[in-house]
Amino acid sequence: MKTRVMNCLVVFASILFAGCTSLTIDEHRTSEDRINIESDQTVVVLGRRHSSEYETEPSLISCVGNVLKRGSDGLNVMSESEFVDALYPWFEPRTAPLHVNDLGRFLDDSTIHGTMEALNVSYIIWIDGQTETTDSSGSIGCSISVGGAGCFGFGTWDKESDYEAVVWDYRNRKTEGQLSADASGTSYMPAIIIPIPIIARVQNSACKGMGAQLKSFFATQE
Amino acid sequence: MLGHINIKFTLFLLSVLALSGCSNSLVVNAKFPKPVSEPIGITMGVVYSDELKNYTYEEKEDERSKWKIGIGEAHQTLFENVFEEMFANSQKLSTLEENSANLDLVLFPTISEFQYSSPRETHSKIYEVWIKYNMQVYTGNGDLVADWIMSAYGKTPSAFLKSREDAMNQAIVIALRDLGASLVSGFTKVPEVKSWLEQKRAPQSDDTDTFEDESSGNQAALLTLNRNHNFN
Repeated sequence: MKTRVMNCLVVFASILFAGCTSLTIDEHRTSEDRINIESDQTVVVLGRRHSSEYETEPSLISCVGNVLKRGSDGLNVMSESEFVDALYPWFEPRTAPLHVNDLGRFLDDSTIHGTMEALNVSYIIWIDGQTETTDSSGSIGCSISVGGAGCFGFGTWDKESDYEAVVWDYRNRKTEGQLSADASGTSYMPAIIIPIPIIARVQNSACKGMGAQLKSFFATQE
Repeated sequence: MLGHINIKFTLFLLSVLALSGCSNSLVVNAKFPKPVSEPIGITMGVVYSDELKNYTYEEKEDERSKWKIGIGEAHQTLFENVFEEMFANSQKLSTLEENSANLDLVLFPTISEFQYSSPRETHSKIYEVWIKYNMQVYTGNGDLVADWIMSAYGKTPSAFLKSREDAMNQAIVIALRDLGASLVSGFTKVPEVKSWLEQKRAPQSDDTDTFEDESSGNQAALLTLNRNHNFN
């Protein structure tokens, strides 16, 4: 019973003391009008994976997809893995189109174009970037003895997210707009007997910000 | 007496645990999607040699974890998936000697090198895998058409909360997908293969009837070649 109360306190403290994040989003649209999209037209959100230095996290891609799907004006979003498998091998890191004009080779190939049409893919959203820990300091020591266990110390770390998203109109082979999202935050972990994580959810903040902004590009129609 | 046995058993368990801590055994478990590809209108034999099917990488360096990784079966699964869609007809061969004049070409893939890096070595969260292949293509009569090196690369998106085996498995699956992508997008761009295919198509523009006789009556293959010829 005592342990359960303690666990609840830890969870409650984590929620209460969630670290702060700051988020900046810049966007550029080719047209001021929103893109009219039918409810059955498919949008795919894909992560760039061609760099050996880093890769856009699949968790972020799926998070942005979920934000776009949500609500009564939600878009018809196909999952990244499902799309990449259905179009294998044309969206692998080696073969994925890097520029909107590269879509021409898909439109010219009846097999690939046929598959895209069958999936009713109208818009492709590419996201490139990553979240990384930029700095960390402090230390926490834990010990276990016959009398019990406990930790003491203080740790802190900074995280930064840097993402760019671009919206491609597949059928017309043009860029509809792009945006960048920069988020940063510091997490803290004080430990007095038990460690209390105060986590800045930097990636989540970037996801929600980007997702909401990308959704505003589209106007869904029945 | 009972206590003596217990101590021995505990020591045995501890030594097993200590040894298993630095050795990893993995048989790659992989599923691959069918490629979206217009079939090349030829009958292709593919040699699945015992060497390929049973390929196992064993780490020999003392300073590294003792990985033992079976990747042969996963390669066969990938090749079967890819070649089924890539060519109008594909046939499995066990050795190069099973080659016959009924086949237009025969592909003989071999793994020449396997390398990996672990998070401990790169100080990042990911496992990386590089695989090098030697690809040889012969005619149905056994003449060498092309001989080239291919490489494949894969990495885990993140090794966080994954076992070492799962992370390595994922890196290898991504490398194999990369190999499949290379084959589908690059096979006809290999200069010697490209030239052979052009020669194969050439008679059709002069005399379609002659080509029909040579194409073993394969209508699907004929249609594909006709269309490719028109595009080129």
